Amino acid sequence: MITLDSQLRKMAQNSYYQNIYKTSEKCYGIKLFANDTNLSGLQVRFLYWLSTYDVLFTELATHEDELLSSAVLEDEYRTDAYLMYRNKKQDYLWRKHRQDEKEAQQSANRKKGFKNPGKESTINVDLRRE
Amino acid sequence: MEDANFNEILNELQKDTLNSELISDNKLHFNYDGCIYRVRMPNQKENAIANNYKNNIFVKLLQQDNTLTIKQLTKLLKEKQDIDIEALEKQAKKLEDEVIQVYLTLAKKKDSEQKSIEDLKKQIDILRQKRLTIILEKAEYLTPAIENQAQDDYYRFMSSFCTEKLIDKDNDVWEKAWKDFSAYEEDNSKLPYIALGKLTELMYGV
Repeated sequence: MITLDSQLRKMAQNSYYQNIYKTSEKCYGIKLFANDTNLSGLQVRFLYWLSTYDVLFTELATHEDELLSSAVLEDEYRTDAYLMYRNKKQDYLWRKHRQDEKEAQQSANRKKGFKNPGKESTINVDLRRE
Repeated sequence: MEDANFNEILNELQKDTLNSELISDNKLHFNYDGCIYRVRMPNQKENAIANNYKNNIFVKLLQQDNTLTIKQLTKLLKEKQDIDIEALEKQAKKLEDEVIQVYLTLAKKKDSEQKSIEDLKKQIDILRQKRLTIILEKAEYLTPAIENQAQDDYYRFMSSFCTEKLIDKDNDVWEKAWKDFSAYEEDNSKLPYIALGKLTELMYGV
């Protein structure tokens, strides 16, 4: 049995819809749907798959990731798997980027501290034998 | 509803949907008993009316004796029947996490590892089916809760005025399938159920 989502995905991969989608972004007047407002859930879902496959086709063409192949995009299970892996990877890279930024900031602060030392402080230590 | 009837309705819902009509506009066409019908998206006013109707039903049920909210029903099921809804939710979440892990393993497979890919796909199917069974079990237990009753009535109310029948094909003339909600409720054919299913598909894309 083909699910509704499978049908929407098949249509979203189709070059006809992919072309209209890309052209409609640039050319006013080219529309994907007869209605401009009050989109149905099916249309919203279809738009999601159009943009997702648009990104995946672009990444495939630019060899963005060795795990992405045309065989992956032909198989819904493998596409879903790749999308999950991709999200995890992006999440990891984002966290790493934030961590690197934080560390770079801390390092810069330390260096700045050496150039402009703050107020001196003293502490009294009694070194006499008891 | 009898099982045979239910299956017939499901078959009707699955028929002839592989076409661009799914997304060409915010309407969904279907055939029933030799006639063409369509469900359409409700406009803002209709949405507000349906929401108001749902709230009224909710308050009405709340004031009746022997009605329970989801929270009360969950507590009662645990105390009287030893049915633990929260445990079911945890099981479903655990299965969801397991599915994600299998998906992540699948993502790393190369095209040449066909056997392994097929095995992982089967594992995903099994885990998803198990999860679905638990979700359906939970939904069945919670059906009597007033939130769910009000929500069901909301969809039925909505499908009563969002379903239209083609009257004149040449001039594209449509009219409401039922004149009001009472007529919808009194309709003993399968049409109300099919319209309800189609409206859910249209509104939520599932």
